Amino acid sequence: MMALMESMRRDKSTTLQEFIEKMKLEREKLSKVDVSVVSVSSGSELFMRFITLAHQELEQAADFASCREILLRRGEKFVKNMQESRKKILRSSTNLIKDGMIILTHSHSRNVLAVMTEAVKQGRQFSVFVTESQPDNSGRCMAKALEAVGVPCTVILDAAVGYIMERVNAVMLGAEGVCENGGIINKIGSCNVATLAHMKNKPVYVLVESYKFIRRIPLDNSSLPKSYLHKASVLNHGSDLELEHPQVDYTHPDNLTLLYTDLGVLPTSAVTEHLIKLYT
Amino acid sequence: MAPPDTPKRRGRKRSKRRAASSGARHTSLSEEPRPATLPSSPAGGKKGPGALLKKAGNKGQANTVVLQQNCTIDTMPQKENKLDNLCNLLENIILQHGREAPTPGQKPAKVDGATALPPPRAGTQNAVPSTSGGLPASLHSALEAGKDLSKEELERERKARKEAKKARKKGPGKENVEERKETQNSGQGSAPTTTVKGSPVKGAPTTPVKGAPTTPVKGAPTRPVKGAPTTPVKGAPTTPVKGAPTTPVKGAPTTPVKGAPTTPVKGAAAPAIPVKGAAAAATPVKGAVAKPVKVAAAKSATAGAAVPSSILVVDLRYGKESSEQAGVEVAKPAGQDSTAGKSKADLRRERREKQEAQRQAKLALKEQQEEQKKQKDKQVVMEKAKASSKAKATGEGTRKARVRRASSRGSSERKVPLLGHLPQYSPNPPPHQVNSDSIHPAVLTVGLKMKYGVVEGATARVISMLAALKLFISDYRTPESCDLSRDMADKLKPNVDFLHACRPHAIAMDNAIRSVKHKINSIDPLTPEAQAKDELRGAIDEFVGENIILASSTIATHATTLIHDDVLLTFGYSALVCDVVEAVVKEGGKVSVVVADYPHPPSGAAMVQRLDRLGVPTYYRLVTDLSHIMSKVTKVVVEAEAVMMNGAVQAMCGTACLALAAATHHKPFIVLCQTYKFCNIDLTDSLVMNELGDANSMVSCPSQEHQGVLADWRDTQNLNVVRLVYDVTPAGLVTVLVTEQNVLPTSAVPVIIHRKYADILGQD
Repeated sequence: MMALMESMRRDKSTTLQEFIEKMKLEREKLSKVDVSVVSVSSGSELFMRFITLAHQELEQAADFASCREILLRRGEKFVKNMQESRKKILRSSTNLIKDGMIILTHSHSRNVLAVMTEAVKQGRQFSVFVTESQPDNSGRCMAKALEAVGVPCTVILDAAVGYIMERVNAVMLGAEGVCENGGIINKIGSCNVATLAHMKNKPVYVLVESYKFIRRIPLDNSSLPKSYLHKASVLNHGSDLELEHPQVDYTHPDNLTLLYTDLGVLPTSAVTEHLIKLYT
Repeated sequence: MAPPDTPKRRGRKRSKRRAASSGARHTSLSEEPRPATLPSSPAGGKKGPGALLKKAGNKGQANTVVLQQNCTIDTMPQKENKLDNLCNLLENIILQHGREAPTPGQKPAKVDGATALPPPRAGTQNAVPSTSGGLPASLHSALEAGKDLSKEELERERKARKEAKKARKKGPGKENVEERKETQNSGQGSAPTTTVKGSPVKGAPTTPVKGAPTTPVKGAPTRPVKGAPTTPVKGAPTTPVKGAPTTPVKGAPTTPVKGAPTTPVKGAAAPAIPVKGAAAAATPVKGAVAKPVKVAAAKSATAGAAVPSSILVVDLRYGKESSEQAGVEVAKPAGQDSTAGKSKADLRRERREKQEAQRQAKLALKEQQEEQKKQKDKQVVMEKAKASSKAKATGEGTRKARVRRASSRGSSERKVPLLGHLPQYSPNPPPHQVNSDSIHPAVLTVGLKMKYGVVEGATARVISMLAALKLFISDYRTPESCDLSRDMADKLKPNVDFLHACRPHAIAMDNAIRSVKHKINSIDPLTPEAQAKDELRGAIDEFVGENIILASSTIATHATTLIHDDVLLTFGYSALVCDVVEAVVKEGGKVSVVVADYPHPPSGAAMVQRLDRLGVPTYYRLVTDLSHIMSKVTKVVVEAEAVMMNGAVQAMCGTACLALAAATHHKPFIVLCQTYKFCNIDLTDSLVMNELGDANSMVSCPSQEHQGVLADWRDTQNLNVVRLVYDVTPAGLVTVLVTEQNVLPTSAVPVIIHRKYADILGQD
């Protein structure tokens, strides 16, 4: 997002149309890097949407220079909002973690880490199970980070989720993207965790920023686009995708309890309302 | 009807008749030993067919017997049971009558008419009581006329069953008519037999009794004569009304009063519904309208100009008489000489008929009163029951007849438990005044098209309705004293109401009407009329273009993001699903489609045709096959009739089955719907808001074995046949909604409703 802003500043195009075209190019460039495509695409889309949302202002602007000013201002505002969104999530989830809780988390999520750190600062006593989260072992990073802030945590095998589930009080997940129906797209394995938790009636909380909302509803896991499933480098390599491991999976909203976002604590069905408000 | 009337009533009538008519009757019939014959003969006569059937024990025998009698077989094998029942009832009645016969008692009320009226003809046309007085003479004359008994008997035999049952079941109206006919009839032996069978039975169901309550009475009896032989004209519901008042050839002014209330009253009370009692009278009316001239001409010679009606009457009546007589003889061939038997039989028949007529007249009066109190619906039920039974009795195998009958029955829907709040299905169009300008002809046309299923489906109905409303707006003239917006809204109302009466509005139609009304109301009163109308028409065009046509293509585009190489399952016919499939095929998707269908009516056939033209591999299955199909299907796609605030989807009945099966097999359930079909009502089941279809469409079965088994379901106390048009799929079973705005979850519905209809919603 910062990159987008930077490119905007450097942009010298003279018409609005041209400007938008260039922004699109930038977005494509971004998505070619090995990052979380889902959040980048949703974020940049929302970014575009947001900076161009003030139609009245744009119409009033006499020439492109002033237009550009407006866009830049809105862009900065958007980025600022984004950066603040984590704080807002922390605020909305202050009472999420209680003393004596046993929490299961999956993979590495900065939001989850921030919330737990905050809870430790408040003096809560709780312990965490972290899945190993193959294939990139991101769970181990998470465990290290947690231990650094003083949270007792245990790394478990991905295959041990079912074994451990009956002992935990809650499941906390991050998300790369939130679909319009409230389902999440997240690191592969999240679906297992959420489904098992749902089976055992454990609450599943998702900590996510609202810029990750996507206007899309996957019917099921097989209908996820390939750009989401695989890293850009793999896609570019041209290897047989059937043999590649998917990087993300889709968790149905039925398996999720609540979304903690910068917009507040939302039920899964509220996502669509926010998206519709933004896009229409 | 028969069983419940207690002996008391019958007794009363009987005695009354006796007292009143005794003079004429006895004199006329005195030659033959009435009292002796009465108890036995009518019973025998009635028993004839019934007894035969019973004794025969199996259909074949019964049939053969009948055949031997040289009768056309009215009784279908399947109907044997019914016939038996009917015969039993008749026997009971007759026996009771016989018992009562000797007792002389006077019931004053009905006698008057008879006495007052001029002897034979007046009596015939008059009310029930009068017939009794008139009958004997006419019969007598008839007998004397020297017909061949044997032939007559055969014919009678054939018709006897029908007629008797009809007479009984149709109740007062019919009987009156028939009796009248009989009396007048006596002169003509040559009456065409066909008329007897065909006209009343077939005609009855279709004829809508529309007219003023009193008028039809006159017209009915007279006209039927003409029309009866020909099959009743379906189309003209309104015509008979007109004809009725003018036609009465002879009907004494006083007579109709009595006769009228019984039969016609029903019709009057429930104008939309085809009354059975009145049906006898009414149907011929139609026929009369169609070819009054010819028939009249043909028969005028015999009857004379004055009594064209009498001819028909005669025929009908004659048939009945003959049939009864025949029945008697068949039952007891050995016992009586042909002549004696005949005379006795006649007498008995007469008596019985009179009795029945009187009884029924009384019943009818009573019913009438009750009904007037209780309103149309109840009438309808009773009449339907009668009609159905009648229909059975006649046992006509032809499909046409059945369809007509069914339709007639449909009108008098018995209220089904739990569903009484829904508008009852009626096979007939709602009543409206012919020349009134309150309903625009275009609206009239569209209404009837919807009524008869020419226009089906929410989208088509909305489009055609809006087209009609456009014409309505074009032809609208603002009165000088009013604002356009206000007056037009008022004028619009009867049109909309008429459409609703034809068929309950689909939710989409309500929304469309609401938006039109909104447009009308928001017109500035200062705008000149022409401009305002242009605006309105433009708004309607815009509505159709934006919400339906454009939206459909957008939906197809959106759906292509969800569907590519798939095996789709869909339900019935849906233009939207076709569009989607077409779009997917254009994009190069390899789609095959399974069309699940429901046989009443098989709308999926049209779907298959259309898909076939697209070159899509298509499979046509019934919904009952779902469990087989489901494992091979990858996605389920259906079109919604409406989507509720809580995300529940209202669609053609049967869709929810697909949703359930899809959920069970974890297949995505995709619902296509334009957002103008969204509705700010919460629905959790399909009982609260629904539409009742024609239940008779379900009970007609082509298979020989089951044919007609359920045809008389209305007579079965504990059996309800319900045809619901829509069902409701709960939001939880819907994976996504594809709308023109986007692919949405069901939870988006309230958001869209609030945003889209914020301006309109306030108005309700």
